Amino acid sequence: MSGDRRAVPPAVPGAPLLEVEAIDVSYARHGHSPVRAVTGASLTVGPGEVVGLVGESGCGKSTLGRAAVGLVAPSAGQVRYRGRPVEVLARGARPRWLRSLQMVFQDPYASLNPRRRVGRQIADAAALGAGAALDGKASSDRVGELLDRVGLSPGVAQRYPHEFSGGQCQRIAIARALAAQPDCIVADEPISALDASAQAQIANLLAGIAAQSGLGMLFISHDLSVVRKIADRTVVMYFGRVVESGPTAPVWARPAHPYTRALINAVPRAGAGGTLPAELPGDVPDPARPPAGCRFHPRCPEVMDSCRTTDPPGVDIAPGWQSVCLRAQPLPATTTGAGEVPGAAEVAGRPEA
Amino acid sequence: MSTTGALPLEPAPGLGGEQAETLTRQDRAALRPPWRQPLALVGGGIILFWAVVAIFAPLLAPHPPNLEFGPILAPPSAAYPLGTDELGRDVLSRVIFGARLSLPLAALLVVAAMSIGSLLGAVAGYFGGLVDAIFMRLADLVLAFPGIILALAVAAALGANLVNAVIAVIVVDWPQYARLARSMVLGARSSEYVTSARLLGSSGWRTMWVELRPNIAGPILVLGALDMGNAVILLSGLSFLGLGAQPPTAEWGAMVSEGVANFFNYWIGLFPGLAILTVVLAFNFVGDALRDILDPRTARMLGK
Amino acid sequence: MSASGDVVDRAGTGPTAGTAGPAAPAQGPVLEVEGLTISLRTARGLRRAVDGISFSIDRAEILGIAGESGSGKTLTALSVLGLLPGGARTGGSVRFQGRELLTLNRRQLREVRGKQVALVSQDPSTALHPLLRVEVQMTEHVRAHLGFTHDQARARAVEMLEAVRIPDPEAALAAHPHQFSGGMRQRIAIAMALACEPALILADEPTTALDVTVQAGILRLLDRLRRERGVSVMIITHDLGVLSSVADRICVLYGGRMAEYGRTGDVLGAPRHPYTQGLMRSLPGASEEGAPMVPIQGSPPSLDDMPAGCAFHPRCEHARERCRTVVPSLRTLPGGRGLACDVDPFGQADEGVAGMERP
Repeated sequence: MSGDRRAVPPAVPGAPLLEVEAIDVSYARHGHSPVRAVTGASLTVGPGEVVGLVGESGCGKSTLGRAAVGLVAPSAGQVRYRGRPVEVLARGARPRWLRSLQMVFQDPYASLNPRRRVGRQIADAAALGAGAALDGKASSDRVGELLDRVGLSPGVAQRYPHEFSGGQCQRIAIARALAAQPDCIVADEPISALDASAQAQIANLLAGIAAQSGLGMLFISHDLSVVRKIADRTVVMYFGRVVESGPTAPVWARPAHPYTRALINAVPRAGAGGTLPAELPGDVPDPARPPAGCRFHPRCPEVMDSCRTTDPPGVDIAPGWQSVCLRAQPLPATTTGAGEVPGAAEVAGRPEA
Repeated sequence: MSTTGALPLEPAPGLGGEQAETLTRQDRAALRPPWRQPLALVGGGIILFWAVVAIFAPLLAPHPPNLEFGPILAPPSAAYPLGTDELGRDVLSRVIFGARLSLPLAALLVVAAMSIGSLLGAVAGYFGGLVDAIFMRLADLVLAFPGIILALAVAAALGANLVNAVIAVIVVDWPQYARLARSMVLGARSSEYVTSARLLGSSGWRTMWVELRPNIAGPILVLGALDMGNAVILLSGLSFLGLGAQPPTAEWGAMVSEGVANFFNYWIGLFPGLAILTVVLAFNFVGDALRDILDPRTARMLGK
Repeated sequence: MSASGDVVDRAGTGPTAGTAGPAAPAQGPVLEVEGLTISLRTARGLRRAVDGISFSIDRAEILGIAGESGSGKTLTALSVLGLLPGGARTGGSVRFQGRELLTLNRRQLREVRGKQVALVSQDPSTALHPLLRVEVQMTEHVRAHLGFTHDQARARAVEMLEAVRIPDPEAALAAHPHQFSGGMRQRIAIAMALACEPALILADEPTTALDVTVQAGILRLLDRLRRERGVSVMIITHDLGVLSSVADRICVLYGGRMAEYGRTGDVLGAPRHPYTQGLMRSLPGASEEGAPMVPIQGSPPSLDDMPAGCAFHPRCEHARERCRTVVPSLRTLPGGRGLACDVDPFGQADEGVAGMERP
């Protein structure tokens, strides 16, 4: 929906930047049959677009994110970056064209090498991304520029990670990812481990980077309210499947899948004045024994008899908006559409205040 | 603020865990930098002393180590502070010259065992699979023998001289480094900074050298410091058993062995034995202090 | 987005829910903390981590302590449990049901802890022994503290598991902790905390590690427990959304001092302290539809570089010269509110705060 905001053309004309197409990811378990963490999940990320991927823990959203950058191999389906299949990371170095597909992790301390100066780590990333070592001056200039871009003083390059707060470490991790001049970043719960005030800082920083430099971002989070603020499109996963995906504002305004509704209603709102969030009873099922029919039916408040037996197909609610639910109905063409989504795009487009 | 962040909460009310984890007296002692810990200072002092003795042995020793000139089996006296042995050699001079052998050889073999062991261990841990299986079974094989017995066998097979004794000790000694390096690499391999480096295009070897090496170097070096004492003992042990330094070389283990042959002339064996004892103790003191510093928990409290 | 949660009937909960802060209500609050100070030994000497915190919790009341890392919120909770790290120096007073806790010895503290005050921590797996069946863990301390027989303890365990809505409590008792999901484990941890019928539950980030759907269940559970059992709850979190939905009153901490306290609706509806205001504006859920999140710049101070004057001044856009040197005193405001800000930039515009313009 926000492709027109960008002027950066993708390498293969017409191909989305990052394309996850109907992938399955299975984990082998010792002495058991393998468990499918992700089943038939698809999503695309365009240039300059922030796609929010939400769901409960264990729903497979992190696995999908790791598959998207080639850290785990899909057992079916394909991940394409710039129209070319993403190679799964092996022993050798990652191919250079793939190095512009980067990842930011949840734990800011774990994602930085504790025994190396942060400036060195960023400089290394720049050299690896460029495929050639930079000379001393150019390298330190580049490090300073990247630190500045994530809101840190270039003078901190000589410090070690433990000298920073969690939010600052996450900024450094982002600077390191940016050093490789990425066109697409997969951010896996990048703000979940941070303090309240740092969460908004980092979320805004990431959204601002996507807007300014036109890179696509897959923003994985269990926090729907943040996704609502910064994502152009929202993808909701439940138990390994994408159950709803569409432009953020209409999905929030009129969630088409009961699970999306349950998630939204469970978000506590500050200042709402004594409103207890709504509970979604039950637990995510045992991955070894997925329920028949719709996977959400044991917890679904709107379950019908057919849900227990029929695996629901995807229904196009509106262009670019799909819900995998038997009850889902397409909206009349005039009421909504990706083009008239208020709010979300402007929010994402605003740099950090 | 790391101070509150580091405070673990009591697990369960009433489940017996009445004591929150707090700074014990030992923790606080360990918090002190090594140069303020008495034992580490003593250890460092002794090591420094022996290093000076080894370097300036020709100046410090009253006599050449192998000169058979004095009275035979003279007890300690003003002329011969530590007495003389059965060939009339000055024990003090021999102990002093012995430092020139024991210390550098121990250091050499520790460095060699450390390099070989940590390289094999790191490779095994990082790449896993068949490489891991081969290297680590080899290490298990070595560790299954009592160290001195295997060293004896190797030294005997290679022939009795000092060089072969050093090789034998290296053969016995590397697996502990391999194990430590492997376990640390295994722990760090899946950490997110390693994954980040790999995603940025760092190859496996480069990742191991650039990203992992600084993180495993500390504990390996501490193990090395602790192992120095062990190396001195093993090497002297081989010499004592006749498989290391050969007469007339002034080597502490060999001298203790001579002392055993002259059991009633206590000074022949006692003083080289004391030399071994002090060196081993000193390295253990220093190693312990270093280990406390590198312990992540104490290191964090130090603000490292 | 219309919220579908229930509206909490705040009026009927605590008898003195409105009377707040340092002035203790006459009915006798469950917990009274007055002028609490805690100093910690750090590598650079003794540092004051908690400085003059005062609050009280009434029966069946939920008090929220809001703060980020380094605010002193966890230390405050630990002081109630007598679990401060060795070498910590305390001052002021912590009274539980009228009894001073700071001067109790270990044995007396143990009596209070676990039986009358229970802790629910962020990570339920730390509260549960991985190798013991749930039954053993749940009955053990009931028997130890209350002298129950095995059968009585078991009946109590079943009752508590039912109270936290574990489906099939009998089966749960026979299971090991790893057989449950995170949310279920947290429920079991709460059931364990409840088993001795404590008067006060300290919940330290009880839902931070959980999904929103599970979090909603836990919050509703805490709310129900205080209604049905009259338990008081002190809930410590940096998530104002959580506090907004369950807490009757909240107390905002920053840099070891109280920034603001009062009834939840008052404080979050019209924050007076610039820090509270900043937190509210940085929340994605709180700002209006389409409005951007406006984060507070900078990071919370650490114990070793606590700023002089008001601890918040380096991050405060309303800071004046005075804020750099003078520690603001905690003033009592009408309506049981308290505020520690000498500038009080939002004092006049009490009505119009919702439509805050950015400076």
